Amino acid sequence: MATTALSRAPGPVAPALPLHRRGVAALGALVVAGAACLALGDVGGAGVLSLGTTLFAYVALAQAWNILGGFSGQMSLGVGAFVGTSAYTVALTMTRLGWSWLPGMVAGMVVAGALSALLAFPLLRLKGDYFAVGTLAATMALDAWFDNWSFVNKSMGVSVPIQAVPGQTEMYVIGLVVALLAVGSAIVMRWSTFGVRLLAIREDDLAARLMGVNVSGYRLVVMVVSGMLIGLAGGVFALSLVSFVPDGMFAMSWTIEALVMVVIGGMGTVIGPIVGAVAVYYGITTELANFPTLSLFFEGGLLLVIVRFVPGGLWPFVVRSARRLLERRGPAITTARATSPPSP
Amino acid sequence: MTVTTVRRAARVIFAGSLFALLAAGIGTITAASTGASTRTITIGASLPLTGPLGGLGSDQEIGYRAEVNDVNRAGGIKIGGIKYKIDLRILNNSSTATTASNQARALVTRDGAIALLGGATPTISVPQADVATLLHIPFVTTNNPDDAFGSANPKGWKYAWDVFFKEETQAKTVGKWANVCTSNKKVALFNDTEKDGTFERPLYRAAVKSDGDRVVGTYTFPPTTTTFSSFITSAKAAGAQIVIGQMLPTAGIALVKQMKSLGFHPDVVILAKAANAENWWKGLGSLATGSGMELTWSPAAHYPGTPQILKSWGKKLSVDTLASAVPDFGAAQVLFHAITKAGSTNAAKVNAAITKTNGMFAVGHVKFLKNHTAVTRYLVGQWVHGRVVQVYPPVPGVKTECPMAGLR
Repeated sequence: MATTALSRAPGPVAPALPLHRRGVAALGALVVAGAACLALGDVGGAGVLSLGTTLFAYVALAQAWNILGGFSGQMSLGVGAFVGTSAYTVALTMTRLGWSWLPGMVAGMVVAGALSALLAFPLLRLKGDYFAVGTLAATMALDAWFDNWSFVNKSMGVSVPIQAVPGQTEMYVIGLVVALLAVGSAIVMRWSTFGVRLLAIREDDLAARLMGVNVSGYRLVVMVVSGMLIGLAGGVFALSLVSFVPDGMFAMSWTIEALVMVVIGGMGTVIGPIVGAVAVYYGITTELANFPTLSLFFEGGLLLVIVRFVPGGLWPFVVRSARRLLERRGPAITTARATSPPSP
Repeated sequence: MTVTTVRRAARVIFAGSLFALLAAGIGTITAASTGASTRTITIGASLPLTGPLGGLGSDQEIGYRAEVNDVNRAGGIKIGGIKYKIDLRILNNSSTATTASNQARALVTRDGAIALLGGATPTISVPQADVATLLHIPFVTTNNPDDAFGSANPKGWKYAWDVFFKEETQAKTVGKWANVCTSNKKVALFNDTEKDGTFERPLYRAAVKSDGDRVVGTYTFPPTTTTFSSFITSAKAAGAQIVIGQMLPTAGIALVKQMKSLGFHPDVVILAKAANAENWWKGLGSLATGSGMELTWSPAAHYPGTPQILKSWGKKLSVDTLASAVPDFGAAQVLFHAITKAGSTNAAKVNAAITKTNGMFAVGHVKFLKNHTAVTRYLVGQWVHGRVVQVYPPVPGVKTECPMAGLR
């Protein structure tokens, strides 16, 4: 999966500033995009609010997976573990402790982050396929535990108190904020000294270690950040679904969705997971809701086509195609391209 | 043609397809937001048409569509002196609770459904009922045992309604029917860990105990389990001659097949929920002969409209499909009756009209209790040569076949 990592590294190998100027520009663009989405929520009807909320949560989920898998090269199959843990934390704090949704979501994020840190100790000793299998095993173990744990109502599941669930407009804003946080984190990781070191670890951890990079420390931080972001997305899903059971919240499908979105959109890029989430959730899942089998077929087919013909994902493909088009128009642009960095 | 050309062509086709898909999506959203015909009202239903509950969901679709067709054939629902045709939008949630919840929301917010009809089992229906409650949209469902549904929202449902039988009635009726056959009165209980299965387990125990039977084995398992050999070996060793359970159809079919292969031949077998669809016979064939099935409708129960149902559907559908589909037909009747009574599509008015429901429908008398459930009768049927006949409460001229022939 890791292809041209260092060629995708931002500008100079060791930027002077913690956040590269392109990162600052990307954060600015993110703020503008966020404001545009907020305005869209204002003018859009209930359909836009509902669709937007779920889409934003998926953007956050995909971006969180991308930070771990795309930036640091740790292929996790354990998204469900963090979605489920956070969703249950939100529901339990709201029902048992009477908390409102905001502290509930913060608690969900913290618990998911703590779980990441806890799992990091055994899992970060594993590499490649073993790490992936380890995360999958952890998710399955949590699913089985919750299925049989009286405190969480076993397999009968839990519910968020309906009267405490925010309205549709608020849910849209919550989803948007969570998505912005995830994308913002990805931008910071992508265009910072931290991000460059992360890419170095992804490409060759031994070489990175010899260069003085604290490989284990960086991996731990990325895993915790990814877990916390997945936890936030899990909180949004918990508030949207209201009631859920372990088999649904710890399901493998969360990982598959995130992975497919990232691979289709463009792994290791910031915009790729957003493109992937829109293409998969809006373009396929929502529009083919009447034909779930066809939807799965399309999703799988698209994944195959991407892996075979556009292995870098949709976003890098679009950027490359646009550049080629511009190259044909004049040498001036070609010269400009020679100095421009790769797709974000 | 070079490989590069093929790749380029593939990329162009791929990019074009994706663009077309997204454009189609935008078109759908635009069309939905502009609204359909002014003389049509949209009713939504997210059903488990595939997956472990696929058999039940397919029968639900038959029931809902039949009632909608009847109403539309008669010109539609009369609201304020104008007749509105019903546009029933059915989505397949593939037996997944999260999808069921998302689809229920999309049916209301995207497709403009003014009310929802529910999917089978609490696992699917409760998340949909939550969405309906959040969006303040009337939701009528069936195929959900009353107490499991009623207790799912501790604060009490406001917009969600369920028309089905009570678990206690189910347990008592099954216990009584099991004793119609002569056996050693040793019972093995097989229940999955879904809401209704968990709810039913202690009730089964209490019911069989009160009938003088003895539970010699209680086996609990996750819903998607399909391997039962250790449980069967244990039940066989304990000498159980009565098997009572509640599980998904896929689990039930696997259980009976494994009972046969492991030489376990109980006299009485009734697996609630598992045997409730035509897939039971398709999956088991003659092995299903003599097994029990729970019913909320049967021709022998003589509910109102039975002759009409048999006349209009009887030639196309088997009695077992009808037995499974008619409760859904009845639930749709209840909703459309309330819309007519409300004389409006306003959610609050329709909901208020549902509260006042008190009349005879295809599933018998419907009157909602405080927990928003309406109790229907519980009947037991038996599979005989690929058909279901009501055997309990007893019907003149029909006898329960003992022991279960399929496993002999």
